[in-house]
Amino acid sequence: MKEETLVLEELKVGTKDLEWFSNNFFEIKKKYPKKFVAIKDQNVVISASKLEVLIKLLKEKFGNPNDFLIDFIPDDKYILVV
Amino acid sequence: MRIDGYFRGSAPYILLSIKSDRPKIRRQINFLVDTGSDITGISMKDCYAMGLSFNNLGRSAGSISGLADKARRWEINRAELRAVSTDNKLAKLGPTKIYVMETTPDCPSILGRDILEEYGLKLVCDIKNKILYLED
Repeated sequence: MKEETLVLEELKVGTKDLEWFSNNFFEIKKKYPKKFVAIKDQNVVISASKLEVLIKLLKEKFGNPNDFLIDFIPDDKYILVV
Repeated sequence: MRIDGYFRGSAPYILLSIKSDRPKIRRQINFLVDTGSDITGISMKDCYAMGLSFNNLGRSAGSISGLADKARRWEINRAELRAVSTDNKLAKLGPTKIYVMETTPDCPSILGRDILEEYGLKLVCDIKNKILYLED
């Protein structure tokens, strides 16, 4: 498969995951406050309190952490200013 | 060309695929759209996911300033950014300069004004009605 076709297909799959994450954000926030989560195929696959632990678990179970959307789920007290 | 984004709560995000040869990286990254940021940068969590360590990036190109301390930044001079447009085509931005940022683990990667300006992208962000997109 041509690289561009592959990237386009990957982005379509990633967009579905992001859409799912967006639509279910408040439920995920209730379930995983202050956790790092790895998302793939419209599921939270693994969660952990520390990023390093999440990456390690992904490597052990799936091989490549790069295949997953990784995000930090805030709790209600969390404020992000960038 | 129009690229749709998504809200995480009320925070606007855009999914972009990033590719570079030096350093050799490729990843889909969920970028927080931040018109207050001068630059576009990859955060710690996305670096770690790609197996990219700050220690292997060589000498930093300078620092980034935020509300508190300064942190190091590294340049990626010829990064290609790609997105899926609303008509299901591959939208390409680049090669362009972006940065690796020494952030805290919880900090998201950021799409700053540099990319919006360089590619003449209009940002439409309607939080109340959950409408978010970039358009050229």
